[in-house]
Amino acid sequence: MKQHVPRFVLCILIPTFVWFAIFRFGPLLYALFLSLHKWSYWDNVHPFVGFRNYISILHDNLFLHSLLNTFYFAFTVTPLQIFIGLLSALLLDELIGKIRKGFFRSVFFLPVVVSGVGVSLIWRWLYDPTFGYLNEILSFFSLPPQGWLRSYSQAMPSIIIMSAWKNFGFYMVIFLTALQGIPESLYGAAKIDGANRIQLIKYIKLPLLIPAFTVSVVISLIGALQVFAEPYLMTNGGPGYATTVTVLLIQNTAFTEGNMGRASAMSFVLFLIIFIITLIEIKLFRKREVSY
Amino acid sequence: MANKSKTQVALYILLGLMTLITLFPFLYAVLTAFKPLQEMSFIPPRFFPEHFTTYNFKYVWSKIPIPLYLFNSLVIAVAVTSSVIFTSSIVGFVFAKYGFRFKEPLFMLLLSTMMLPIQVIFVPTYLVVSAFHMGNSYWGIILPNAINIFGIFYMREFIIQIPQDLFDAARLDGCSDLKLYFHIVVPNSVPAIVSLSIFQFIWTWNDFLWPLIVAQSNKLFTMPVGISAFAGFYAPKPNNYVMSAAIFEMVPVIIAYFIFQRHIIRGVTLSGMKF
Repeated sequence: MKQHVPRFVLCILIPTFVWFAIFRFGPLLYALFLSLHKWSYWDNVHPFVGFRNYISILHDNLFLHSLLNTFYFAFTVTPLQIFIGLLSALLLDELIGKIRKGFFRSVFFLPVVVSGVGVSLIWRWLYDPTFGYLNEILSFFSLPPQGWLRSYSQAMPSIIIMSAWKNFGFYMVIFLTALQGIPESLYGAAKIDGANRIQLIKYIKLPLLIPAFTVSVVISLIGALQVFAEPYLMTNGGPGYATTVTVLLIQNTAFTEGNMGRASAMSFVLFLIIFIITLIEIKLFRKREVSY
Repeated sequence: MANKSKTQVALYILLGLMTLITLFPFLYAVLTAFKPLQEMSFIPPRFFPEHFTTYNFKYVWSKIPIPLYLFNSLVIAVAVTSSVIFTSSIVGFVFAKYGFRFKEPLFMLLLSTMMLPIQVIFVPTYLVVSAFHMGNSYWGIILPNAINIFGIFYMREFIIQIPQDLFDAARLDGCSDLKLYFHIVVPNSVPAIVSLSIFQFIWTWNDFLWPLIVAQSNKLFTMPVGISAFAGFYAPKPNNYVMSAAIFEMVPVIIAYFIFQRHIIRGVTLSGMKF
């Protein structure tokens, strides 16, 4: 171990940090700077306005509504997709035979790899209240047709259902890997003690899955708070503003209205929210991890 | 034993149902793509096409420059992936095998950018890209994604496990640092490099918000951006065309998935990266 910095390390790290300065830290600071100015894309002068952008967006019902929509999406889709992912991992773990396991795993992972754009367009068509196939399936079970994406109250749940369908396979793989890591000997000992399947799941598998659970919650929330493509393509934020999520509103404010200052203030608030939520999650879950 | 087979049957029914739900949207999209326009307004909608047609694909092919969008997606995905592989492995190598001052805080600083995705800071990043005159160019789409902190983290975890003896022996033979990288790090981390490449390639291929913002003209559209522009929102195209377009967009990824699925799935399991 040398204490000074070797030249090779410098040659690698300097360009790396320059990149991070230009494309990550720089923009974050730049967002802060822009957010303190009245910065319209169409004007040449950008006067300093202090915290006026922040005060304005925090009094703007549409921005607050977009945050609520984003939270609604993130805090509903996260438990849903992690629960389905966990359930499918536990089911696959009960299966006998590698090939069968591999088959179901491949199928459930398929929606994860295809693009959000493709599946959003497919589901937009399935959800069509007049010509779509989902209402046809409902009518097969003698259920009344629904408005889905065209209904103010159902639009967000519809996007949530689609997202959970798209993403659960990702969490299934995280849980499956964790399950494979549990040593056989633990099961053996429990079986000798007369534990049944349910008890095995409850007392051995679930506690040992807590680290995988933590990772899943963190990844899912960070991702879900940035949701954009699905509402952009399926509802464009509507009906009304029922599915206007924050990234969609930022994109509109910046590139349709040209109001970069205001959009940057929104970005900065969103960044702070993601930052704080991540810190809380890591703190909360660290305590509950179990090792063996 | 009877009880055991009963649970197995229940298991298969449940998994079968989930398989159906997972595959149904894809199946219906494919069937829709083969339906003629008149069948789009059937009430109730029918599952199978009444008159099977391949016209929709020809229509989409004639209306939007699919080869151009494919080419753009390919150029961007190849460039981003190569750059991410190189930077991730060499920076990962530095953090895995060298000791230097402020190593830990520097690494933590890099890791903190995991909370700083381009989706959140796209407004200032766009202005930075414009200031460098890279707006509406390949560079503008590629450069802000040229390094992936998840990739660095992933490669570092992998390179740490390469035995130190290999490096010490090569060092005694007078190998330079760059030679260590090319002759020891790269050959010994092929599995990680393969997983990361495929993962990064698909992630870049599917990326939407950033290319949507940077690509101002359809000359630069990637597949997802081009397809979404074609599908429209306020005046949407008929769904038989939209489904054909969506299939053009998804098929390359699905093919790649079937060839490389083991690597892709391992990519998830080893790191916890996100699409």
